[in-house]
Amino acid sequence: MLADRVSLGMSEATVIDQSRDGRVQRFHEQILPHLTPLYRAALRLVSTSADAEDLVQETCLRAFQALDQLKDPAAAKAWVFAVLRSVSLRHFEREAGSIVAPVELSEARPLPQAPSFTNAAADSPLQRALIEEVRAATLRLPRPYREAIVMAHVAGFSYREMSQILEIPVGTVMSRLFRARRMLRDALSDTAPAPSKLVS
Amino acid sequence: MTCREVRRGLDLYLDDELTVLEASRVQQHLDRCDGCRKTMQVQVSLHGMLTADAIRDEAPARLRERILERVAKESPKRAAWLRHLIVSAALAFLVCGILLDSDTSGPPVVPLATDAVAWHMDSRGPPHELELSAADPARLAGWMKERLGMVPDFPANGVRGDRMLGARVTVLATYRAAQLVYAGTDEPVSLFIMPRPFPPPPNAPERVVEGVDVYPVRLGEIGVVWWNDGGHLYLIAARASEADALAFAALCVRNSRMKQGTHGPRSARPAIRSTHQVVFPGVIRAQGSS
Repeated sequence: MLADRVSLGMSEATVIDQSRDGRVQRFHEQILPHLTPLYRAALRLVSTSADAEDLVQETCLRAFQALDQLKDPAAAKAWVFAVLRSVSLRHFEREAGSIVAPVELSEARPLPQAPSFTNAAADSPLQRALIEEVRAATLRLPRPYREAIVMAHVAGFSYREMSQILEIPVGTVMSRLFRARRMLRDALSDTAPAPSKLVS
Repeated sequence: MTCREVRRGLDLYLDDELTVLEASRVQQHLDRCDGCRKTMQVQVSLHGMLTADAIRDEAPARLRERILERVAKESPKRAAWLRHLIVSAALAFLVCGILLDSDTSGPPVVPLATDAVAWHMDSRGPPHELELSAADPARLAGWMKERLGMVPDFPANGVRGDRMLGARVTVLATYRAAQLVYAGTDEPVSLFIMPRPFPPPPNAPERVVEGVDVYPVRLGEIGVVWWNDGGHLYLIAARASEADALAFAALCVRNSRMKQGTHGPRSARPAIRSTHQVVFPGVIRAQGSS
């Protein structure tokens, strides 16, 4: 307790130094390991790598400033992604005039039979092209749906964690994911190469 | 399970959100139903592409370096106000005699006040640091409803007609609160609003402003005044005298009463603009006086 520190005669400078060093160490241990997931998520929330880097940098700085609020180190990833979400909302606020128009929702249509991605490898040019299409289609989603896709597929959060990060009920998480995936299927079925071309 | 049930649950199945038993039942259905299996293959393909896309891209080394540089620069700046905060909080302990481990039913008051002071001092930077940069009360009200699920009354301007700079979500004593920042004459004024009341600790210094009990605390140069109104906690933090902080509290209370008394339902009421004239509270008295 602060009063204890003062009453024990610990110098003010020592208290400050210990507090600062401890925060820096915690930042290295609890926040920096999530840098790449944060960057991957940011790349899918904003359209350019420069914006993504700015978003992540501001997120990390804010996380550092507020690190004392993180009580449970096990929750560090969800916590810092909540910070990212907050920072990204401000970004969208500033860029409000340039947000891409929402994708219209239509009846579900099947995707072309794509090569297997279950091993998460993109070996051929066609596979890489298709993945580029996925990225582009994700970026065209309206923000709430894009957030849901990013939190589920890029960050790998559960519905409950997403509910806390996005500050919406679990049922809304499920419906947003459902609609987002339908929009992606629609977008990809319009742009993906013909099935026969994908057999490499 | 029916095909309809299985197809509705495919997302949950692929997202690992089903129990073992539920997943087993879906799998059994898929084993014997070609139609559902084809539907699932489409879903699997999309999941696979999203996963393949998700694992690309590594954070650039320069980004990590930039962040560490900023953190290194941030520390001394942070330390300056943290030093102020530590000394102020220690003084608050001594002067106010408020214990952290009080047996009140709500969160302790010192973290409430110190958190508010920390957020207030942290917000004295450029306006773009705020989550919402807006002076429009209607827009601000919509933001608070969306972000915190509350529709509180708040003045559109400060005591001297200070304009609203914007707002952000903060955390006071573990509870989320909105911080509204007004441009003061010399220093900004923060009005925190929390969507829940906050019971006062025993023996807390008390004033009565416009018929409402308010609780002033001073942490160093920062004056804090808080009170409960309409199911919300209101808290002002500013580098100001107690009289000025109480004047702002009075403005807030009068603003709430005016809206509640002369307008329709809270959600339908337009925000009003205060006068630019300095108006001090009509009644300020110490606890126990008449």
